[in-house]
Amino acid sequence: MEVHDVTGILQEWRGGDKSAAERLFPLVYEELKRQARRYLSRERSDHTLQPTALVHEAYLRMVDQTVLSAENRTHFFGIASRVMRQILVDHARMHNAEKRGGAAQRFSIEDLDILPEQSAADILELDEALQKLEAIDERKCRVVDMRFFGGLNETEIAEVLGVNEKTVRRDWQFAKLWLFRELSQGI
Amino acid sequence: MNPYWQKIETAIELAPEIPIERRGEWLAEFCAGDAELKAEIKSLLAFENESENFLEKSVSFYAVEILPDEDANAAGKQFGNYTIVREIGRGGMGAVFLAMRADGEFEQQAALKIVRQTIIDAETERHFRRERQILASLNHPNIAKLLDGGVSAAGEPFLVMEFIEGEPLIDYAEKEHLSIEERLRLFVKICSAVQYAHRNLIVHRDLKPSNILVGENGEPKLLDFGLAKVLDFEANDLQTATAFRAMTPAYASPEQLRGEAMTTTSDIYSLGVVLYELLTGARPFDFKTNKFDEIVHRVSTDSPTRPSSVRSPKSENENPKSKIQNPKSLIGDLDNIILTALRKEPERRYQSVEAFADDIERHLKGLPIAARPNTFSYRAEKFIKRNRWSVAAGVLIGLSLLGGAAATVWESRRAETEKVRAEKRFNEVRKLANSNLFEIHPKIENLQGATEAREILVNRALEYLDSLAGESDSDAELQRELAAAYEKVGDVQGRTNQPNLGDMKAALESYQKARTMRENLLAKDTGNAAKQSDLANNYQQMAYILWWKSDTKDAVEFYEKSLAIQQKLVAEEPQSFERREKLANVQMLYGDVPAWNNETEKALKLYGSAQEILQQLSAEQPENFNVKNDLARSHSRLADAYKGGGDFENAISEADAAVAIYEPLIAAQPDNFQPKRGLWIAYFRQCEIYLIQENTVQAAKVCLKLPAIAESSINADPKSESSKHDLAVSFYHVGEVLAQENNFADALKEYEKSRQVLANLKNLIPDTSEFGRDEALNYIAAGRVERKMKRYDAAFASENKALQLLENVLNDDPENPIPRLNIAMAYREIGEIQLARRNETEAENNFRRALEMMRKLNEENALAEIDKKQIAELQAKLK
Repeated sequence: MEVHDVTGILQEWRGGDKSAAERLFPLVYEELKRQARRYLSRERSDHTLQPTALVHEAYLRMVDQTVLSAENRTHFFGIASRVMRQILVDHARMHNAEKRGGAAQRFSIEDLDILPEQSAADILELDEALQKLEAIDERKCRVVDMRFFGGLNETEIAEVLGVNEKTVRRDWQFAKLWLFRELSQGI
Repeated sequence: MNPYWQKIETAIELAPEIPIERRGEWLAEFCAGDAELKAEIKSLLAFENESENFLEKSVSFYAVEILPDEDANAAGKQFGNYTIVREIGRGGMGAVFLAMRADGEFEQQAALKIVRQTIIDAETERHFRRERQILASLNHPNIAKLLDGGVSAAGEPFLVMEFIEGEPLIDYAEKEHLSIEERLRLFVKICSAVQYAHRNLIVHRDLKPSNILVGENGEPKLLDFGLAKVLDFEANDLQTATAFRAMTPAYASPEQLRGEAMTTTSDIYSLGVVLYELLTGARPFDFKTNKFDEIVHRVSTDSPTRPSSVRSPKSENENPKSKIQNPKSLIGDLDNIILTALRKEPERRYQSVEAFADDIERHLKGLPIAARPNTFSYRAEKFIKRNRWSVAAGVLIGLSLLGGAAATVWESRRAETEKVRAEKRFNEVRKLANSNLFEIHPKIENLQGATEAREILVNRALEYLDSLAGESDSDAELQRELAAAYEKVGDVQGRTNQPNLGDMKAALESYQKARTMRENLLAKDTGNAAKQSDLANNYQQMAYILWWKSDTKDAVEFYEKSLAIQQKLVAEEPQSFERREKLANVQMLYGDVPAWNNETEKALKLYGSAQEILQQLSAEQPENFNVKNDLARSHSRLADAYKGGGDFENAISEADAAVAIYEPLIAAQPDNFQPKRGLWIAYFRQCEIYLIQENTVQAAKVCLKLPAIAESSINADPKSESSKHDLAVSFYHVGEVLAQENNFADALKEYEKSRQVLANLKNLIPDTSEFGRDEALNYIAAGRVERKMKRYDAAFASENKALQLLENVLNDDPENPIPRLNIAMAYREIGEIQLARRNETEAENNFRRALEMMRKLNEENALAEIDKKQIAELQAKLK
C-alpha cells in the first residue's frame, strides 16, 4: 500500500468527497489488523491493547505527515475508530461461528483466557444496538465509535464532528442511557 | 434527529439537575400531557445510575482478541509430509490446521500448528529441532503425541501433532454432569500424564482446561506439552525469557507471570487452577482487569477464595443437573489440596505431581491427606480417628512419608543448583524424620492398636536420620536427634510399660547405640543440662529393660547412674517442675528392683520419695494427666512394697488410693493404655493381699475384675505383649480364688487358661525367662489343687514340670531369688504330695530341701515377710 494513497484520500475527503471515507475504510482495516497482531506478538510485555495507540501507529504508518494537517489526523482517527468497531464485530462473528461449529481441537499458544466468554456476544449486541441508535441519530453513533472503539477524547471527537464539546458530552450521555436500556431489554 | 428525540435528549440533559423528589412533577410539566414521551423518558432515566460506568472502560478489553486471518486460504498448502485441510483454531502466535499426511502410505489426520512472526536463524532452528526431538519421545496414553515438525519454505516453524477429537475438560465435565468424584478421577489421570512428562524432564508451562481434551471414551489428552519451551526461542537467556509470551495468565503461576525460572512446581500450580475450576466452575482469581501488571500483582499477593466458598453461577443456572452445585462439599481435604497446589512459593506447594495426585486418591479413599497447615499432626489425628480398632492402616503412614521424601527427580538433576538443593533436601528429610518422632509418634504412643504403625514410623525416621548422619557426622544436633531416634526405636521394640513388640534384645541394642552417642555428646559439653538429662533418661531406659530381662545387677547399676544425674539436676534447680518430675520417675522405676527383691525398706524409701515429689507436682498442676497418673502409680507401688513387708493394712489403703485416682483418669482418656493398666495393677495388689489373708470374699471381689480389664486392653491392641501377660496373671489369680473356695475343677481350668496365654507369649518373645516362671507358678498352683483333689500323679507331674521350667529361669539369672523361692515352693509341694501318699521319707527330703533353700534366701535377705512364715511352717512339718 502506498502511503500517498491514504494521504490523497484524506485530502479528497477534506475537499468534500464523501466517498473518500468509504475508500479509506478497507485500507485502515488492513493496517489496524496488522498492527493489532503485532501488538499481541511477543515484542510487547503489555497485553493491553490500546486502540488509541493502535490508531495512532496506523496513522503514522499510513499518512504522509508532511502533507496533512492536524485536522486530517482527527479525521483519520474518526475513520479508524469505525474500522476498529468493524474489526471487533467481524472477529466476534467468527468467534461465534467457531463456537457453533463445535469444539474442535483448540490449539492456542497464547490465548488470553481471562477474556469473558460472552465478550464476543456483547460486541455483537452492542453493534446491533448502535445500528438502531444510528437510525435515531447518526452523530451519536459516531460519538460512541470514536470514544469507545477509537479511544478519542471529547475535544478530538468535537474536532472530527465539527461540533462543540458540550454537544459531544450531551450525545454521549444520551447514547449511553439509550444503549444501556436497549441492551438491558434485549437480554 | 427528529423533534421527539430532541425533546428526550433535552430531558436527559436537564434531569440530573432536578432533585429526585421533584422529578415526577418536573417530568409531567416537561411532557405537557404527552404520555408516550413521558414513558420513554422515564424508562431511560431509570438506568441513570446503572449506566454510569457503561462503555467508559476502553474497548481494549475486547480488542485483545483481534486476530489476523491471513491464513484463511491456507487449505492445500504443503508442510513437510502434511497437507492442510482446513483451519481449526488460532491463537496470538499462530494458527492450527487440520492436516493430512501427504505421502499417502496411510491416511493420518494431524493437527498442524504454524508459528507466526518468528524469524528463525540457524541457532534457533537447532534449538527448535532439539526441543522437538525431546517432545517426540513423550509417549503416554494421555498426552497428544508430537508427530513431526520443521520449518516451511517460507521460513515459518511448524509442528505436527496427533489430532485429538474431544471436548475441553470443563465443557466435558459439565456436559456429562460429572460428580465431584468423577471429576477427581479424571483429574488424577491428567496428573499421571504430567507426572510422566516431568519424569522425562519436560515441563508443560501452559496447562489449562482448553489444553486438556476429553474424548468420547472419557480419556483425557493433554495438548501442547512442552510447546511453550520449544517455541521459546530465547530460552538461553533467562533474564529475558519472560515466558509469558506462551502462557495463559489465568493459569500461570506467580513465578511464571513474573518471568522467573519455571520448574515442575509451576505446572503443579497450573494444575491447581485447573482443579479449582473443574470443581467450582470459577477460577481462583477473578481478574477484572486486563492490565498485566495488576494480574501479576494479584496472583503474587492475593489469597484465592477457598474453593468451598465459591458461588458458581455456571453450575446454578446453565447446568441445573451439575453435581458441583454445593461447593460446601469441598470443605476440608479438597480445599486444602487445592490451596496447597496454589501456594505462592513453589517450595510450599506439592513437590511432585505424584504427591498431588496421591493426596486426591487418598481423599477418595477416605485416608488422611498430606495437605494441611500442620501436616503431620493432622495426619496422626486422622489416623487415630480412622484406626481406633485396627493396626493395618498404620502402614499407610509410613508409605505416605516415603512419598513425601521422594525428591523431585527433575529438580535434583539441575546441576547448577544441585548443592543448594542437596542442602534443602537434607533439611527437609531431617525435618520429616523429626516430625515423625516428635509430632506423630507421641500422638499414637499410648494409642492401643498402634504398635505396628509405631514400628514403621520410628524405623523410617531412623533410616532417614541414619542416612543423614553418614553425610554429616560432625553435626552435634543431628547426633542428638539420631540418639533420640534410636531410643524411640528401642521403646517400640521392647519398652514393657507401654505397648511394644517385645524384642528386648533389639531394644537394648538400640538404647546402647543411643547411649554411646549421648555419652560422647556430653563429653564435649559437660555442663549441658539437657544433655545430662538425655543421658540420664537413656540409663533409665536401659536399666528398665535390663530389669525386665531379670538382669538385676546391671539394672541397679544403670538406675544408680541415672538417679545420680537427676538428683544433681534437681539440686541445681529445685523449682524446676520438669526436673522434679524426672527424678520422681526414676525413683519410682528404680524402686521396683528392691521391691521385687524384697528389700522393702529400700523400696519404700524410693517409692515414698517419688510419691512426695508427685504430690507436690500434682498440687501445683492439678490438671496434669501424667502427674496424676504417676501419683496413682506411686500409690500402687507402695502398696506392693508394703505387701512385701507384710504390712497388709497399708498395702490395701495405698491400693485404694491408686484406684481412686485411676478411675477418673480412665473416664477422661478411655483410649489411653496407661491408667487402664494402672487400675489393673491396683486391683491385682489387693487381690494378692486378700488371697494371702485368705479373705476369700474380698479376694473374689477384686480378683474377678482382673481378666476383663486385661482383655479390654488386648482387644484394643491385639499385639500388646504386656496386656497378654496381664491376662495370664489374671487367670492365675482367679484360679487362686476358686481354689480357696474349694472349687478345684474350675480353678484348674483357670490355671490352664493362664498357661495357654503364657505359652503363646513365649513363642512371641523367646528371649525372656519371665513367662517361664509364670508358667511354673501355674503348675505349682495346679499341683496343689490336684493334690487336694487327691490326684497325686497329676499333682506330682505338675510340680516336676514347674521345677523344670524354674531351672531354665535360674540358668538365665542364677542370682535371682524369685525363681529360687518358687523352686523351694515346688519342693515343698512335692513334699506335701509324698506326705499325702504316706511316703514319709521322700516327704521329709523334699521339705528339708525347701527349708534349706528358704533359709539361704533368708540369709540373703531375699524373703518377704509372708515367705518367712514358710520357714517356720516347714520346720514344724519336719518335726
